[in-house]
Amino acid sequence: MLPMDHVAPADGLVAALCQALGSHAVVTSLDALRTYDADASMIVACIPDLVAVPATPQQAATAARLALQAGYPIVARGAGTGIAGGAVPVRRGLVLSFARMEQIEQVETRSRFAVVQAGVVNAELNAYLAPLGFQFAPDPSSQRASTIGGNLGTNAGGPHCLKYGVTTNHILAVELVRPDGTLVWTGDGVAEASGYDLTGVIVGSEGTFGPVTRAIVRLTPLPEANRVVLALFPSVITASAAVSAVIAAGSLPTSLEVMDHNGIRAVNGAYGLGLPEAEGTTLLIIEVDGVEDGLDDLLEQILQICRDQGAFELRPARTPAEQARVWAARKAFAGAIGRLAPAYLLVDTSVPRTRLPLMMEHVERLRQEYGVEVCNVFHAGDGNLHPLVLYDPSDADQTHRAHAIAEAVLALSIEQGGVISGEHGIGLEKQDFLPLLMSPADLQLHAAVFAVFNPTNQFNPAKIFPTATPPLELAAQRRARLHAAREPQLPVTALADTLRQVLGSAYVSEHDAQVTIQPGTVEELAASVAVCYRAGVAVVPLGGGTPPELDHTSTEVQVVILTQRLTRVCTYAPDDLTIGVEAGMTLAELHRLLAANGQQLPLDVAEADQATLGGLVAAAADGPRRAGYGTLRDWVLGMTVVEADGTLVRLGAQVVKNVSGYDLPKLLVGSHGTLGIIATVSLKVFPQPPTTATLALTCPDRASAFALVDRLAASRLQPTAVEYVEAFQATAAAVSLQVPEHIPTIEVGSPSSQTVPSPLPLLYVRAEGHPAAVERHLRELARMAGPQMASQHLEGEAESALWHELTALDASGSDPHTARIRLAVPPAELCGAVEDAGQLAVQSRLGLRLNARALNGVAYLHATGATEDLRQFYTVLAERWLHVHLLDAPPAVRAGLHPWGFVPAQDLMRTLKSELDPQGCMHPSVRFVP
Amino acid sequence: MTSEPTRARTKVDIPLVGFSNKDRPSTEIINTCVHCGLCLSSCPTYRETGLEMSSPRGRIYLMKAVDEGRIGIDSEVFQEQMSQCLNCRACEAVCPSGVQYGAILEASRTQIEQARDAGRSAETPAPITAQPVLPPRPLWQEGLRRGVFDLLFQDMRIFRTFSWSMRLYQRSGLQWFARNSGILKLIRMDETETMLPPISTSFTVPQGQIFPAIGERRYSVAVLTGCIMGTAFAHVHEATIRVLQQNGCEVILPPDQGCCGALHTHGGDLDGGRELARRNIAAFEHLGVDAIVINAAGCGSTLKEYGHLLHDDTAWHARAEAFSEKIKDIHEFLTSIDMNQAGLAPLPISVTYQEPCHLAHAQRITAEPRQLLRAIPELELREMNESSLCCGSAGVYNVTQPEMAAQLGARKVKNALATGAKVIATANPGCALQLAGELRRRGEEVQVRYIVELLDESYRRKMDHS
Ligand SMILES: Cc1cc2nc3c(=O)[nH]c(=O)nc-3n(C[C@H](O)[C@H](O)[C@H](O)COP(=O)(O)OP(=O)(O)OC[C@H]3O[C@@H](n4cnc5c(N)ncnc54)[C@H](O)[C@@H]3O)c2cc1C
Ligand code: SF4
Ligand code: SF4
Repeated sequence: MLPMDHVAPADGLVAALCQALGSHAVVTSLDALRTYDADASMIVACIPDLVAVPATPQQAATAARLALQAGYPIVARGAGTGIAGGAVPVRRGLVLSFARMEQIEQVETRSRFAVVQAGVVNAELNAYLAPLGFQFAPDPSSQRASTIGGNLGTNAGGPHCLKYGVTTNHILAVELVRPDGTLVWTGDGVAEASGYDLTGVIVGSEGTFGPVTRAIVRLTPLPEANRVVLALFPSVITASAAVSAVIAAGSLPTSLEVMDHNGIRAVNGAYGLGLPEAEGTTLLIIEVDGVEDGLDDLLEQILQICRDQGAFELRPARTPAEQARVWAARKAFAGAIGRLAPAYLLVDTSVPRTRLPLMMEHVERLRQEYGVEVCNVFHAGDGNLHPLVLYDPSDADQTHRAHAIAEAVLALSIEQGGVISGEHGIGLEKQDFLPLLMSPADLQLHAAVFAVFNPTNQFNPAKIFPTATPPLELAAQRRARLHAAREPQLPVTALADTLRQVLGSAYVSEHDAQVTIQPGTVEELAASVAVCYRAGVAVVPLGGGTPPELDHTSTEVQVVILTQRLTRVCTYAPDDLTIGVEAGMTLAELHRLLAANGQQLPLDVAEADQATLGGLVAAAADGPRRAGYGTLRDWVLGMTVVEADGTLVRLGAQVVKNVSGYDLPKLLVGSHGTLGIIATVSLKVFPQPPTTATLALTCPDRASAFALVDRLAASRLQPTAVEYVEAFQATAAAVSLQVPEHIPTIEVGSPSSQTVPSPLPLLYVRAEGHPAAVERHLRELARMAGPQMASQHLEGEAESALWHELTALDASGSDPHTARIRLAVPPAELCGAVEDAGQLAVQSRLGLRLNARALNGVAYLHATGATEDLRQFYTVLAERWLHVHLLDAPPAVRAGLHPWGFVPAQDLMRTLKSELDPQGCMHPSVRFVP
Repeated sequence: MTSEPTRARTKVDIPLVGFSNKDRPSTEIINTCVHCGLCLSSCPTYRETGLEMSSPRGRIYLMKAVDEGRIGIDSEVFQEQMSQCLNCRACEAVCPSGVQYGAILEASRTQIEQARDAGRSAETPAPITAQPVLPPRPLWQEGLRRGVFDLLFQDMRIFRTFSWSMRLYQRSGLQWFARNSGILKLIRMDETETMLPPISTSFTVPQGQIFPAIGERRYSVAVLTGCIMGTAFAHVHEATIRVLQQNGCEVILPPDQGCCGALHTHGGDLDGGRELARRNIAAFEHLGVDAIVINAAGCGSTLKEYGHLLHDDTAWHARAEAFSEKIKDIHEFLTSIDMNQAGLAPLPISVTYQEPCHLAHAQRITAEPRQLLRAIPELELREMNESSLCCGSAGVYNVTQPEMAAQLGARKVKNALATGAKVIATANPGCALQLAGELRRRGEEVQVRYIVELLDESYRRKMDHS
């Protein structure tokens, strides 16, 4: 029951809250509650019934539980700097404020994570981390006040997100309040955990999935050096063109921010920038960072592009104080607007980067047409526009025109492939724009996920979804749709023939109970899934490989869908640094395509000519270069997906910043085909670095190898890959150790050590970027390694051959005595885990070879031996190290084992699967939850 | 303010008491607040309570609500918040929109006081009149307030006499008795009492004295001795004068000057403040000095704002502006001239700096004090956390909001002690008292010193050695 009028909340509830939190932490007086009816958007909805300000996660959970039980909605509030009305109550209820939950609970620099409470202020976390040499990279302009909870609620971005990514790339796990008032962690911060990426979809959910009480955030090392230059252009359009040109030239600056003359006027005086304010003058703030070496040269290249594009003045900000002033001015901008006009509409939209100049022309045209002043200050590198429409709310006509411009800009942006929010969220402000961007089925899928997290609609109700279509209604519609789509039912016996009608007989084959199909288009894929759904059979999407879960001997009818014919490019404008392709395209083909434009997807896997993008995404594959570039999770921007009943939905979009609805693509990454079939994927891609080189090191022992990794992790170097290889050999089992031939076997240590044929651990460190920077990395590394490690410097052909061989170590192979296992631990624990796995292997009479992403704490183990020994090995390892995933093993080894390792938040995982695929027909043999 | 569960929802129908026209908080200033919230994390009361209405944005929102007639000036929440605010102006310093918070806060407080005054004179308070009416304060409070504002601070002779009696109290053993007998707790003065300054042995009485420059005379400056600085902190004035002399300044202490009026303007007695302002302007304007140097942050910021205080006073406004132009904070002044570095002897001590709000926020002077500390050879400056978060002193705040004042004092001292420094340097009497009080409560040995005192010590050491 929702309290509908201005009545005091139940005494019992207030008393219980006061008892749990202390009366100073419970607000009930009307005039005080009034101050909670707005956030920075100034959208006023209604006054809450109550506010609670807990001091600990437990208090927050208790407050939530009491309110939920009493039937009150709960609105999570950080600092209320949101500009979409996210923290504003619409159905009254309890505002749960995190203002007092500001403890940084744990900081692990070696493992690069911190556990923080939701109310920690972004800037304060950064101030705490800076002396340790680290940062929490997302830097929204509101960072001086906004909280981590709010940042993750809106998946906030900031000027430096061009290089470092937005909030979602920096949140490893969250602690979430559930509708029963209990708390659940979505993970323990270890990067590679099995199961659905709940964290990924909670980030950006604007409090509608429940309040987050704590988060595990990623720490990013501070760069050794940076350069900031202010480039002045004669117009917004030339400045936008320069941004595109800089990106196209292959360098990825840390930030590229544009501010037009109105913006300059707003901050010039207050921050003493002394910039020209003439009509048209546009400022481009450029920042590059990295190791000192080569930085000036890199900057000079960028500046040359600016000059070529018409920059009439370039001003370096030399001292840290000057740089701080520039950024302070940039970040103060939105607030400083109070100096220009009594009110503003801040339009937040993002488009593919190359459409920026066009969008700016449109904005300029609209400005003239509507006769309203517009300021442009935006994250240009990300294609994230912020036209800011100035108006006087006391002038009704002007107000109307201001809103009209804002709507026109959004419509244009969608037309250009953009989205309706790049970083501020939908909240209350844009909920009715959502249908412009999404089909009814897209909305229904959003609603289905909503229903999983928020089944009683008590968490931040009446947000995000269009007012006319409440989410629980949409979710019910989707359930009804899935139910109806089973009709007319298809007898299983008619399945193959019906599929032949859809696909042509050449693309349908039968083998015992298994039907294998090869759709040629996305539409065919959708149509055949619909057919299978009517027949009530299981569908198993298959890229290049063979999932170990696929049971060929099954007597139940199942349809295997090969995506190999889906190989088209959907959209590729190279200067956008994004690409959209069909799911069946192989990684090797994608690499070729990108290389032709001097670009790359920094993912290296075994058998790249077999592996398809759909398969890689569904399995969340990673490569050694994750240390420098991240993983597919960070690069997938959007996808089209075929749902269980054959409905085609679009998730995300092909723009680099997007908070228009939930980040559903995250759910599909690593879902192993259990939630839907990926038909197309849009990815962020990268310029190829001008130089790359690798240092191969032979280490006298494991301890010294990891000591070097520790030193490397603590340094300001930014290697793109640090791969560790070691082999263990039990005397009983002969293992062929494929150690890359490029490594000379050298004689180290005492003569006796040579009599034991245990190869020495190897470490491969790769650096990419400006030649001087790469040179510096290798030089410094060699120095850190010292004389006791033999090192070899590899470049060009030799280097690519080496990495080819190294990634081939991950190949599945069909050895009946081998099990492939992925082990993931906090990076600081990797050395211990490796040692333990080695000892265990020897005890279990196995041979073991492992390669590990040493900075990331992810190891791939190849164990060889007898079936029982392998089973024993896996079971013990999984008990000890939790995130131990049996990737691949002969059926006899797998039988009866739970292969996924530890899976957190199992209730949520289970509900998610059954809500999205109620019939359980999507790849049913994958069961994350035992 | 938050404890009673069921209350306040019925108020809607009662006619609201709004702002009156005299010294009305400027609607224009209120509206420059764009509600961005960037000030929240800098506000000490918000940091302590986590409550929106205890934040700058919340307080401005409340003023707006009164201004627009949505709530009345009699709102308990409004009054409580206007009182709980420290007027530290940290919010003003970080506000990107340039909201002049101090001005609207002082006007709001004045509105409340005016309504109280009206309440004292009106027989039966009418619900709505041109002059809003609030029930008067309890008599003892009112008496104290009037005694302090109208007598003590308006006339420096009375202030000095009062200070003498305080010194007697401290010296006579009465203090020992009071502290140990629990009497203070009984009359709820215990929080306030630890704040009493140890009164200097001799007061600085401005009588037109002129102190010559040491060496070549480069500047002629005047010093405002003020109220509490001239008594409790007379030794700081002496240090200030010596430091100025060391820097080629001839120093004048003009007679007829008085208290700067900070307590009045901050406390909602703008008229009282104006009276003092006129007196000070008259005392200084004809001296022809290069600068009027101020060593107390709170006085400095008030004096710099005389122009605004008297903006409605046609006879005085221009004179006030000219006066304010001349006001230089001592740190600002010393770093703007070619300072006598050679005369500084090493002081091998560790110091942490507590930024007075009225220096850091109201006057935006943050680098200069540090620059001076670093100028002293061998002095080690250790930055504390939250150096610019108010220490909770803020004029009469300890009396009106003892709990919040104590919380903030404890927070500040905790941050200061964490640096391990042996001296906390500051530049304002309120801060000095607050810090010393909290340190005493904890039994800490750490000293509180003005930056000028440290400079003075350094100069004097050099003199002693040569
Ligand atoms: C001047 C200014 C500049 C800005 N610049 C940027 C910018 O550069 N980039 C950018 O992305 N945004 C920017 N913003 C928008 C805003 O600051 C961000 O969205 C910020 O992340 C909000 O944080 P907050 O703590 O204020 O959250 P709030 O505003 O309190 O809440 C935002 C949303 O998150 C939810 N939420 C808050 N806390 C939690 C929690 N603990 N658990 C679950 N949900 C929660 C709320 O319900 C709400 O939906 C700016 C805003 C202003 C006023
Ligand atoms: S920073 Fe300024 S504009 Fe923003 S909320 Fe605070 S007072 Fe208002
Ligand atoms: S003056 Fe100080 S206490 Fe008052 S609102 Fe501003 S920051 Fe907060």
